[in-house]
Amino acid sequence: MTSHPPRIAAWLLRTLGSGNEIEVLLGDLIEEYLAGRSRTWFWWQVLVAVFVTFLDDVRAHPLLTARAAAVGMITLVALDYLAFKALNAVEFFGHPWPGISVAADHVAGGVRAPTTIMSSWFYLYEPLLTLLAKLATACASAWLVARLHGRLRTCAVLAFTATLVLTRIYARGIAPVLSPDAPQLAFWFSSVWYQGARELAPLFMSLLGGLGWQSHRAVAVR
Amino acid sequence: MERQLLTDFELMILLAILRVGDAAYGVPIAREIEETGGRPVALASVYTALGRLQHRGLVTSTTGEPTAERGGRSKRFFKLTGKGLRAVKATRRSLMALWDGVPALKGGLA
Repeated sequence: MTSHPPRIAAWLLRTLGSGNEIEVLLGDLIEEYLAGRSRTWFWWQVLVAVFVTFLDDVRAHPLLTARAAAVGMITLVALDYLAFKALNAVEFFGHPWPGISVAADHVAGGVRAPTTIMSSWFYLYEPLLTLLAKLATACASAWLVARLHGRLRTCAVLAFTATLVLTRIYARGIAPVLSPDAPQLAFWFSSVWYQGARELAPLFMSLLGGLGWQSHRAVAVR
Repeated sequence: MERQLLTDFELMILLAILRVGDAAYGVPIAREIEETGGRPVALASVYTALGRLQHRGLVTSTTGEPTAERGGRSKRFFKLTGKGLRAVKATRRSLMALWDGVPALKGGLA
């Protein structure tokens, strides 16, 4: 066993945990770790603490949490729409932007993809730029949620992230029923790197938001 | 009317504080519940419940001195208030009243 408790876990607790007792709790965890508890135990306690304090905030502020999730989702849908419109208005190397459905066809086997845009750059850039646009809209939505919820920003962004993940899971579950294009879309959305980046972006923003709040609080205490 | 009875976890925490005595902070409280109460417990759950109990006026807390073995962080010591002690007794009375007279629990059948 090393003498230092897991730094990343401690940072995660200070960043994503809420409540007045986080520093006291962290002291307890360090004391137990130095007394012989394992790193796994430390990490488990931190993850439980983040979850428990999040639930406590949700229980204490259910309306604010619901508002945070709603604001985040509405903003995300609006920004996604604007980004899609903007990309569609652009021409790349003389070709119009095909949108995500063409990319889906590419990934699904290129059965219906127009041959005029099957060049190699398009294989790379179209999905990449679409992903970047999605990341930007998710980050911007989470940033807005964080800005609107001050002291509860961590809880708000976590609530938005949880809603986003749940809606994705729900959408994937019903996708085959809703649209004849769904198998291709489901295939596209199931690509791990794309889906992972898309869902982790708000969480990343919540970390940034949390960090900002921590430094703000540290200055206020000093 | 304010809720007087305690949940099982709140009751265990208050009893653990009484058993530990003056040195009742997160670690010994959790350890007491685990070892005597036979229930695995996360420290965060203990603090969340203690926060609720303090809000209801059932416990008070004081902050100790920062120590090196805690990375320079302080301990938070907890103590029952008179109201907390009355809540423990009231919960015990309720549980015993429910307990008594249940045929399946007589004679060590439970």
